[in-house]
Order: sequence, then structure tokens, then C-alpha cells
Amino acid sequence: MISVVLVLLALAAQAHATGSEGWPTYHGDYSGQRFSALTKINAQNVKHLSLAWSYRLSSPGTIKSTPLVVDGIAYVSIPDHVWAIDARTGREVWHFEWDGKGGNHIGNRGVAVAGDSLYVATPDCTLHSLSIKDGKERWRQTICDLDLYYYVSNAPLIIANNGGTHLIVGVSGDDLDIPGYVESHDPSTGALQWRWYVVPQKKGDPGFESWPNEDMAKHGGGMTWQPPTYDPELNLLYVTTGNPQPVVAYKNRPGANLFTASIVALNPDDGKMRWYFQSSPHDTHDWDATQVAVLFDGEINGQPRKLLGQASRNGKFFVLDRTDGKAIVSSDYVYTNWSNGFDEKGQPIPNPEKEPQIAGALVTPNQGGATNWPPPTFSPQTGLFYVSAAQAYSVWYIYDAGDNPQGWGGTDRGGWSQNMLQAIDYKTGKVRWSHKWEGGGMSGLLSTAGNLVFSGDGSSGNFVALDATTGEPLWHAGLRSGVSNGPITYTLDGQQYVVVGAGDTLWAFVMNE
Amino acid sequence: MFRFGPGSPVAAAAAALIVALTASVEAQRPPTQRPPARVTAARPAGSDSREAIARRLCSQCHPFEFVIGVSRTREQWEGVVENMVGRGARGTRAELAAVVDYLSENHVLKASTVRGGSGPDDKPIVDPKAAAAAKPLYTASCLACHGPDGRGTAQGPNLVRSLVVLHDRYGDKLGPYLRASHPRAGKPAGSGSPFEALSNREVLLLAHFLRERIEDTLRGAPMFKPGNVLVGDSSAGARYFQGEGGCTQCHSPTGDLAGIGRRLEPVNLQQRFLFPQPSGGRGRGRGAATKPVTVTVTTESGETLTGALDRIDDFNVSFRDASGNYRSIRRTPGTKVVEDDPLAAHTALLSRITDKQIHDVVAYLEGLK
Repeated sequence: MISVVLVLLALAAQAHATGSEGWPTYHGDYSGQRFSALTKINAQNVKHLSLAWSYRLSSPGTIKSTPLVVDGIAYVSIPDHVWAIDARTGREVWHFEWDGKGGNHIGNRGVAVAGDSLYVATPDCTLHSLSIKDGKERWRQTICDLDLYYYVSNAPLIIANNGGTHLIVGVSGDDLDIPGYVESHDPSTGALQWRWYVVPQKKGDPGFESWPNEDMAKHGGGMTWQPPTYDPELNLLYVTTGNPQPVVAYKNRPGANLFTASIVALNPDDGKMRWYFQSSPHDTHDWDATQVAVLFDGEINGQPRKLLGQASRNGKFFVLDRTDGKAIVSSDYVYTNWSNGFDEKGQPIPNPEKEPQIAGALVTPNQGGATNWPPPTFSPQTGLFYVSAAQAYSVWYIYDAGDNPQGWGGTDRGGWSQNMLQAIDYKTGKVRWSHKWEGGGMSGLLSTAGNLVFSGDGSSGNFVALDATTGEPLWHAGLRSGVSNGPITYTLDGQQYVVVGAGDTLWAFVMNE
Repeated sequence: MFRFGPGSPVAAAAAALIVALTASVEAQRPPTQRPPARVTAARPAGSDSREAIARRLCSQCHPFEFVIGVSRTREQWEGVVENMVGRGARGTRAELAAVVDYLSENHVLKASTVRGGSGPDDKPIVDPKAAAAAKPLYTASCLACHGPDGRGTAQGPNLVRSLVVLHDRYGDKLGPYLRASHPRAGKPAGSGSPFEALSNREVLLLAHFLRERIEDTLRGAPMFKPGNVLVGDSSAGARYFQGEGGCTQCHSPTGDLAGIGRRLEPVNLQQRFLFPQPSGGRGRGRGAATKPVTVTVTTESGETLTGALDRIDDFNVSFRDASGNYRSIRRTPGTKVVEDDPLAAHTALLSRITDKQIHDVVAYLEGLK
């Protein structure tokens, strides 16, 4: 246990030196920047980047997880499966397969590693601890109720501080009207440390005034399906929350519906909320605000500030002071047509006419959103926040026009979309450059100190390196299918690797010298 | 013999027997020998000799229509038949197997297509026939407090969100609750349940009814259908069509759009004029577009080539020329590529058309009979 803590403290200490060795967490570090200080591969030489190895999963599935690389071993997951892969050769070291009991198998974001343990959650609401030596299970805990149509896609996150070690995990499920929550477990035993509910569970709980009654509040959704970020100095955990329930038919839940579609700062030692910012007040379009809360230090009006940036699914970009959640910048990073500006807190004001209608309302973004789960990246070098985005339109309908809709009483239909990579100036919220993709679909991103941004180009099936300053494509490789996860980079034996998942295959590229 | 009173020793013994016998049947059959899902078409009544056997054996004690009034899984039918054997039903081993086969093939629960991948693998499957059969009982005993769709009233809680209902499997939680724990209106707790006498069959029917109410809230549920989209002003739509919309540049109400209101449902008219692309996206040569995107490529050497776009990305473009030859060209800095999308005017509408204009145009197009 002591060794676990030491490893974690070391990991926390190198939070902003991502990839100098491996890629030890979902985002590479706690900040969510997905920026690597490595420069061996750079804008000058990237055109020589070449294939090192590829690994095709030994069980079918799509790699949406970001692999971790620890001590030369890469750990990659899909629902019910984890593989350990030699990060030098792409050879399989072990494979964990779980005989699950159900749950939505839409995707798995990844695993957590600390000391000699690996943590993964499977769709059937089970959190597992495995030995990183051989993938053998050490303990398992049930963290949600399958009968309520919960499932887990989240990558767990391990944090260590003076208050102990915490294994943080969130839950998914927006079929039935159920509450979202995030939990902390003891990494050594699996015992529950705390649970924080996104929506009020009883009258008088924080946020209760934003719901019409207790029944609607306690079933109000807000799934926590993306890994949080963490600031060790402030000891704050930044959790992002999903859409309210009932999802599209909203008649019986007037109010802001806190704390759905929000960014919330929690104390990781007791799960108590410090502050919140609601990215989509009273959402009616299935626009989770679970997009990564990216932590970075910057300068606003000449003053150094501790900041948090989010490009939200609803098309809005926010920069907050991450000490108190106060908005500094609120803007649109693609054209949107559903809001009437921002309120005094910097939160968007929904336009009631663009809420779903019986006869339909043409809205942009569509249900998939202006962005979605593929992780963005922030480069402290360029000061740009990069996000895989879509200008997407669809028509939103109410199907259940009654007074008490439940679950999914409406949806959107049809659509047109244009995918692009947006580079946003965090100081102004304005798009500095935009690179349109010919293909459809979104991609996770990686930026490096070599002045590069790595991205997929959607259904065109290329993995592309762009100049981080100008957006010019500098290199590409055609893969069998579109990039399906967030790319990573690491060094082994002095060589810098870039690894990306596309469909059922991991592709590793290296600068041969 | 389907009706046995709650809490009776016979009922308990029978229930134990069902479990034990079902388990032993399962244990004797390794997974590899599990019969594959059968797709035998239902045969006309009377033409299946197995049906005749089932009818003969079951009808000794029950109307046959009563037996087949609820569909069950194969495992459940095996349990029922074993139970009946324990209660005196007599047949040869081959006859009993034929009864199980017949019932499992013709009166089996069919997995819902609504959100099939969500929830537990062993979630209950709704038998619509059983759910419908529960309606008189639900209406008489439950509706006043729980509402017509089970979503609750001021007098009773929401059953779609009830943990008893959500954890139930074919009445196994619902039955004990209804018989022993359901409060009696206007009486203090512990006054006994008003539903002590519910039969197993009644509980099973209610379980199907309530599970169906849950499925009615899932995305893609059959009851979720578009409402009335004909809310616009047809004459305003005609003016938009002929003026601001620019529609007449390509379309004519007496030409290509003649009778369009007869051919398409209003909601599909709305979708088609806003999103005519064959498969979403930008319609770049995907699917069977009626008019493909054409591309004109001027190479570094000055050669100009044109054809129907096949595929394009930042690095390469491919197309078929007028002779049907496939061409693939690298997009170098000196290569010029111009695309001509015949649906570009529709795409351009998206950022400027209002919802009122959309409804007006749909009303106009719908009138083109």
C-alpha cells in the first residue's frame, strides 16, 4: 500500500511533464491537457514518422479507450476485456476477459494503474482490481444496479493526497430516469469511501430548488460517464455531468435541473461539492456536459490565473477560474442557434423556441453534439484549445406530448454535418483556426511540444499530424478505419512513439533514427 | 391447478419443485448441447401432432387457450411441464418432450427490439398478449391510484420507477409484495394487503403489463411516433418556395414535385427537403445519391479531369470519369480541386431557414397531391 501511495505521489508530481516516460493515466496526467513535452517528433521531421508495430485485438471490438503505458507495457480495454501489450513490440502479454451479466456495451474509456494493480469497470456495473503482472482478478465490487439500466463505460482514476488514496469512478445509463453519481473506493480493498449524487436525493439537498418536486429531482439523471480531472495543489476533483432525465420531453421538469450538464468541483476526500458551473441549464437536447474539464495555468488581463476550459457538447466554450468556478470566457466554438446569449454567470440561456417541438425544431448542434466524448487537447505552448467538432443540424421532436413524459419522449431525426478541428484561443474564446475534414466523425486529440496536433480525419480513415500553430496537415497514415480513441505518446529506449486506436487495431508510429 | 393459494404448502412445494426440476434439466444439458434458437414457422392449428399431444395432456385439467394465454421462455415451459407432472399430469417421456417443444416454439417470449443491449442480460421479456390480458385487472385494482400508464397520481407512486417492479422477474418480487406488503388505502401500515388473494397467473399478467409500461419509456419504443407537423401556412409556404427559398431554381410543383404530398408522409417531407443527402453527412458520393457530387481536378501539369466523386480527403481524391474509368489523384499543392454538390442549395438553407418557414413549406408541399 505504501508503494502505491509513493507511485501515486510521484505521478502527481509529474502532472505537467506528461509522457516523459509513459502515459500513466487516461489523459496522460491529471490535467486533461493531453499535451506532451516530448519533442523528438516535431513539425520539422514528422513527415518521416513510420510504422513501428500494430496490434489487432484478439476479441472483436472498437478501441475507444486511451491506452495507458507504464514501465514499457501498454494497457488497452474494450467492454469486458483488458489487454497488456508490450509497448516496444505490440505483442500481447496477457488478456483479461470478463463473463459479464449485461449492460450497454457501447464503449470503455480505459483503465487506471497504480503500483502493481490495474482497475477497470465493466458494463455490468462491476469494478475490478487486477494484478498488472498477469491480469488475475484481486477483488471486485458492484457499483450500480443493472436492473435500473445503469452500466459503466468510465475509466477509473486513482488519486493520492494527504487524505489517502481514492479510486474514483462514475456511471452511465440514460434509458430510464435514474440519478447519476460518482464514487470513491479504497484501491486496496474496493470498499466504498463516498458517493456523490449529481441530482438532489431529497428535499433540501443542494440544487433542490431547481426541480419541481422530489420525485423528479431524485430521478433526474446526470450521468458521470467521463473520467474527471484533478488539481493536486487545490485538492479539487473536477467532475463533469450528463443530461437531465427525462431526456428530450421536458414538460415535467421546469427549472435549471442542477447539477446535470455541469462542471462540479468536489473534495476528493469526502465527496463534498465546492462549486459548480452549469454548461447547459435545463438541457432538452441530450447535451451532456461530460466533456473534459481541462486544467491549465494561464494569463488573463496580465494576471496569472488557475484556469479550467471546456468545449461543451452544446457548442459553447467556457474558461473558468478553477478555484471558484467563476466564468471568465463564454463563447461559441461553432455556430449554434439554440440560445439567447449568456447569463450573468456566463451560462447559456436556452431559447424556448428551440426546445424540441411536436412539429419539430431545426437545431444546431444535433444530438451527437458540437463535440462528444473524444478528448480535446490544450497546448500551453500555443495557448490554443483544440477540439474535434461538428457543425451539425437535425430536427428535434416531442413524441410524448403528455404532462408526465418519462425516459425518451422525443428525439431528433435526420441531419447534416461538417466535421472540423477547431483551435480556440482560451483568452478570447474565438476560433484561431479551423480545419475542415472531408469525412464524418470525431477523433480524440494529442498535442506535443514538437508543435504538433495529432487527430483522425473521421471516416476518411487517416491519422493526421497538423502544425499546431497553423493547422496545416504535415503527415498522415491511412489506417483500416477511422481513428476511434485519443492518441498517446511515450518514450522507450530514447525513442518517441505515437500510438492510436482505429477500430480493432492499435497502430504505433516511431521516428526511426 | 394453475391456481394455488398464496402461502399454501402445496404452492411452496410446487415452487421448490419447479426450481429443482428446472435446475436439474439445465444441469443435465451442457451449454454446447443447448438446442439452437429455433425458427420453425408456426404451423396451422391442428396440423402439428405435437399440438394435439399438448392439447390432450393439458386439457385434462385446463382449457388449452388458458395454458397458451401467456408466452414463456423455453426454460419456463420446461418448469411448467415438470410442475404439472408433479401434480399428476401423465405422458410418456417423448410426449412430454413434444409438449415442451411445441409450447417453446409456438408460445415463446420474443426478445424486445427496444434497447435490447441495455439492462441486464436476464431482463424480463414482455408478452404483449399477457400484458393486454392484465388490463381489466389493472384497471379495476391499480389504475385509480397509479394512473393509466403506471406513472403515478397524487394517490399512488410511479410504478415505472418502482424498485420492486424494476427488480421483478415474471412476478417473483411483485407477487410477494402485492400479497403481503402493499398498503391498504386509508388503513395503517401492517393492516394487511388488499391483494392477498391474487393468483400466480394474475401476478404474472400484471408483471408483463408493468414491464411493458417500462419499455414504453425507452428510446425507440413503438409508441414514440412523430405528432402533427402540419402546422404551417400553405400559402406562405408557396411564397417561400417561389421566392426567398429559391426552390424553383431546380424544382417545379407541376414537374418533379407533382404529387409529392401523396408520396410522402408530412414528417418525411420535412426531413427530405431539409436533409436530402442519402446518408447524412455532406452527401459526398455516399449511398445512392440521385445526383452525385461532381469533381473537377486541374493537375499540376494543367490537365483538367472531371467525374463523379468517389472519395476525397486532404491528401487524395478519386472519381469516375464520363467513360466509367476510376481515377485517383494525389492532392499536391499545385493541384486544384473543385466540387459541385447539386444539393448545396439545401445545405445553405440550414443556417437561415426559420422553423415557421419550414412548417409553411411542409404545408405547401403536402398540398401537392
